This record gives sequence, structure tokens and C-alpha cells, in this order.
Amino acid sequence: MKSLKALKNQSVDVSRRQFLLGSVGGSLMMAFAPTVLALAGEAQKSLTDKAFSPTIWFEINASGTVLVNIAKAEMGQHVGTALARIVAEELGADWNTVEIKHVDTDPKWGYMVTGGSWSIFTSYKPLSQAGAAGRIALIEAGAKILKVSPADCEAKGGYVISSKGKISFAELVQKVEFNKQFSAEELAALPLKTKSKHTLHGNDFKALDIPAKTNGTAKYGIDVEIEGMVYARPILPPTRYGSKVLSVDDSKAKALEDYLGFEILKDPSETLQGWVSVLAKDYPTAIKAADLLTVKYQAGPTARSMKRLFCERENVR
Amino acid sequence: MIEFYLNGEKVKTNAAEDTPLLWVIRDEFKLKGTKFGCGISMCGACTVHVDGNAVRSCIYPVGAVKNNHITTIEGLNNSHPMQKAWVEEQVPQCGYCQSGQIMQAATLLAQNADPSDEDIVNHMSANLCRCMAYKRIQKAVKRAAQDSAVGVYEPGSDNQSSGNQSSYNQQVEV
Repeated sequence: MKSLKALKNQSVDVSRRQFLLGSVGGSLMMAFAPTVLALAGEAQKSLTDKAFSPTIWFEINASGTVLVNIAKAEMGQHVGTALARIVAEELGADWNTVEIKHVDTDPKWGYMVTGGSWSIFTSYKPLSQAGAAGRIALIEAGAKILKVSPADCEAKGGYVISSKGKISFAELVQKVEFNKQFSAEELAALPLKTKSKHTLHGNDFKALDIPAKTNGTAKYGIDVEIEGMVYARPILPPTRYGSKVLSVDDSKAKALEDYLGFEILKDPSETLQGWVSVLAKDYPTAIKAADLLTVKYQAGPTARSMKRLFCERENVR
Repeated sequence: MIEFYLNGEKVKTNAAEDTPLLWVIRDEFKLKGTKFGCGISMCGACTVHVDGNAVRSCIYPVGAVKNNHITTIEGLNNSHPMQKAWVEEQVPQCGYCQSGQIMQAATLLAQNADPSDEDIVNHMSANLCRCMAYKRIQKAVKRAAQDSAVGVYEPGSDNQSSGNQSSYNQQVEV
């Protein structure tokens, strides 16, 4: 098993990667890529082939929507909103056009742990640089169309703006064939906005994940259905540690049509000790069946102190 | 065969009468917005409306809703004043309990268009939130009450599409 530190480094190491921008399927796609995969001048092709680092990538579509893919676990901390905001700040995007997508749990997305307060402090710099790279590419393209010097342009609110007019990110994505890459060194040297130029950071903006959590569309683990899946309900042992299942009687549960059986969990890591998992074709049957099982245990050594606790509680009354 | 109305639409199920309504809604009719929390009616994550009343669907047998009108979070059509207030006040963190919170809150304005802080706490106190969003929930309910000072909860919108104007509306309107 890899150490936590090794996993952490694996999940955030974008320091030796280049950054690719390319027009793919009508959108402007941007992503980090391992240096070996992206050959010089082939950003567009590498992006089309999805030969990029999975941890950070985002795109602007032809209607100007900025979609930021999030490979971190959302557990109520609005991590997607925070990460997208870092990109949007440097990109000069209009926050109202930013969307997030939580990717699936495919192992290719890397170590997706939520904890340790890593996500922001380890992603802040690479995401800021990624946003800055996008901004520079958009400004270069915009300057060409507006016939001005890139130095006379800024990216703000989803537009490249110059003294001689402005052009939206959406229009640029439609009109320009992007194919550009930044080496790791170039990326590291990109100028980031100074604090006084920040328009999103430190200001009050609505979290992007909240609307879905007010209308029933946010998808949680329990909402996922897979063809042929069965449902399990655990029966917990009398003590956290040291419990052993001696016998299980499921004769009553067998009367339930959709009951499938039980398993005494064997966990070599010993995180779970003495757990019984009750299986059924549907959730309510699993719950009902679990209530009908009789499990006999050899309880762990703390069972006595539990008993004492209950006695003490009785005495207090 | 049990027939009832789900968000205004007439539906039929072959589920056993003692099956909790929650599982029929979630797994048979695939409306996953209603959540399974404790399974023993103690947390409120599974709250839906049965003829306008907030009930805990995890213990409410489907056999008890024959010909009743069930409204789930999806049935609020993303247009309920409570939902708007929830976004304005940025209530959810993880969001798991919030469908139930909103469904519980929605019945308050139907009974009491101008709830005090105490009224809100009394009405919402059995809906638990592990993220401790309670203060924001309270603010959001207050905001929704103010925003809809004229029009209280109008569940007719659930049923209009299919034309099922039912006892449900009559019971909820005040």
C-alpha cells in the first residue's frame, strides 16, 4: 500500500507537466499533460486523443460556458466551486457562465480523497497558472481579430477587451482554431493577477453546487443504480473491536421473497470486526431481513465496560 | 395494485402494502431526490407531502397512500419560494438532508404565512442536519415567507400539467 504522502504527491504533481490548449469538437479545451505525451505543436491532437493529465482540465464551449471538471470528492465543502473559482479568476471568466462537473470514480482520475485540507493549497498555483495560460491564449486570439496589440487587451467578464472594442470568449471559441502549448517552465513564468486585481477571490459569489442540492438533482452514492446490483444492510457487532460472529440464524428472513442471504464480512485490515452483511434484491427487503436475523457473538473485551456504562446510567436516574 | 398520484401524475405499483413509500418513490419511480437517512422516522431526510402534509416516507407504508397525492422535491418544479430562498441564503453544505428540509419547510407557509423564529424552530426541529445548516435554514424560511407574503405555497403547480385538481389543493390552501 502506498503511503499517504506518496498518494498526495501523486495527486497534485503537475509541476513537471506542460499545459495544452486546443480546439476540440467546437470547444476550447485546456489541460495539463505529461511532457512525454504531448509533442511539440501537437496540443490539439493530444487533447483530441485525451492524452492529458486527468487531474485538471477545463473547457470553454461555443456559447461561452466554462466547464471545469472536478476530480475531488464533494462532501459539503463546495470544493468544485472553490477550484472553479481559481480558474475563473485568472481566466477572466464571467462567474455566471462557469459550470462544474464532478467526474466519475474511475481510478484514472487519481487519488480523490477529501481531507487534510489539501485541495485548495495544492491546487491554487497550478489552477491559477492554468487559468492564466487560457487568458493569454484568448487575449492573443482576440488581439488578432481586434487588430490591436495583446498588451492593449485584458480578459474580463468573459470578454477580451481593448480600447478598440471587445470580443466574447464564445465568439473566439467559434472563430479561432486554438493549438498552443506551454512548457512547464513557461507556465511557471506566467504572470498571475495581483491581489488588487482579483474580482472573484475574497468576494461573495454563490456556490455552483448549491442549486442541484435544492431540487433533488444532486447525485449521491445512494442514488446510483447499476444493472444487476444487490442491496446490503449491515448488522453491527456489540463492540467496535474484537467481536466475533459465532452463529447466524436467518430462517425467518428466508420467508422474504427477495432475500438473498448473508455474509460474515472478512476484513483482513480488521477495520470491521464481526460485521454481518444482509443481502437482498431491494433495499426495503434488506432492511427487513436484517431485522429478522439472529446473530450470536463473542463480544470484544470492552463489552463489560459498555455494560458498566449502562449500569451507571441506570444508577444516575 | 396500489394507485396514487405522484407529483400530479397517476401511478400504479405492485409493491407490497407494507413497503415504505420512500422505496417506491426512489427505486420504482426513480425519483432519487428524496433521501434515505435513518429509516426510523427520526431524521426527516425522507420527508414528502401526502395530501399536503409532511410525512416521513421511510416508515409510511405505500398501502396507506391509496388515491392520495404525493409531492416530492421534484414536484416543487424548482420554482417553490423555499427553493429560491435556499439558494439565496446558500443553505446546503453536503445537501443530503435538504430535500427533506425543504419539503418540511414548504408546509409551514401553508399554515402560517408569517412565522416567527420560534414558529420556524418548532416546525423544523425534527429535521436533522449533520452539517449544522440550521441558522441558514431558519434565515431561508424567513426569507421565503417574506418573498411570498402574498402567494403562499401553491401546490396546484404540481398538478396543473395533468389536470388533476384534487383534494390535495383544497387541503393545503389556507
